[in-house]
Amino acid sequence: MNRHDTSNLLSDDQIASFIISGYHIIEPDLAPGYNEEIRNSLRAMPENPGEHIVEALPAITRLLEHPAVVGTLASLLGPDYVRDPGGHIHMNPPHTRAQPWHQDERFGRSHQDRDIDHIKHLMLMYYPQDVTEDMGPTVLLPGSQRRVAAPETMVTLVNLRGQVFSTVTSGSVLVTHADIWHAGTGNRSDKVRYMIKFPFSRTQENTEPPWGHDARNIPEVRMRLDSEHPTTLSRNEYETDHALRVRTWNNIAGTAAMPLRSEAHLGGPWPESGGATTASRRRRDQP
Amino acid sequence: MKRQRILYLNAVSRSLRAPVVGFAVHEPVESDPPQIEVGVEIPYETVHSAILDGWRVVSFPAQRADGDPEAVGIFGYEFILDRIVEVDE
Repeated sequence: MNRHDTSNLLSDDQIASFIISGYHIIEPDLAPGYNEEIRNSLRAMPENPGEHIVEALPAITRLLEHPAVVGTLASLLGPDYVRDPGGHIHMNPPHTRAQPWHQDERFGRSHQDRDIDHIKHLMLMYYPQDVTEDMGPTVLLPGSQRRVAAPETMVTLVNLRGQVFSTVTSGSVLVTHADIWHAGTGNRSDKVRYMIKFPFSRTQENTEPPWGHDARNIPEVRMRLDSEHPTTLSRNEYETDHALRVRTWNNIAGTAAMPLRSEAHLGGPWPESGGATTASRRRRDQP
Repeated sequence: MKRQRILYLNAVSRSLRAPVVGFAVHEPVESDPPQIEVGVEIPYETVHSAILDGWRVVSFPAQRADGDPEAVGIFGYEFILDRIVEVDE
């Protein structure tokens, strides 16, 4: 697909959602039988090919070049994005246990070297079969791509408020910020769950929004970036997280950047007797 | 035989009344560690609620020094609680 084709680009609203939560799900209209073809090829593999996925599974190229996939990647990373070395076929056999929460490591980077206010690297995860709750769906913590945390601080974390499970239909593609906290969960079913993962990166900074941008949407985008919190944040994290969301937009939006400060979210209904003083104070007044 | 049942609660601040955003229970028997699971409900809204239910706090989260003001850090403040339970040997 031509990466400059605008027919499958994300909208301003979808870009805002990705910035806030750190993931996007695509359901490409794949050819009939495609997912089954991939599953059959995976079952026939004598061993995991490691990062040589395309060589071992040439049909996967049709997915990577699908217009809906290309449009999403071009929207988030710019049209000059590249597929990085690496990638992995995850086979989650029946009756396994969950992985612990983690961020993927990238060679040469420490846990402090994260893209907390930018979208430079993505992970693409393709599921060639339905994934139900008992088949070990990938779990994500929305918004966690903005957290800088050493791996040892995660070891006691198990079930977290706001965690989401990627229960998806066959052929779905989950695209995440490369730094989002995630884990494969336990497969309690009698079925194998496959997932094929590829890393992608940006090569150029944007001078204009590479997605389907319309300047008239800026106020709505701004309201969402100012007010939506995908998980409960610590009291002192609200302002920092808010600033990081706006900075992420500015770092990918080129000339469509917006002022860092906004007071629009301070509006709203008058406070009620006995409660917090204003909508903006409410978050600060929690214990 | 009496043994210590352990509950980790992660709250959004060091306050006992702060919302809890994560938990894990470690049973005092030979068992696999707790794991991420679909449909699990956080058992207490606050650490204070857990105390009212009979849990004792055995470890309070440390006061954090000012971190990097440009970054959001680890997820929540970790309280560790215990409760002594009778276990069949």
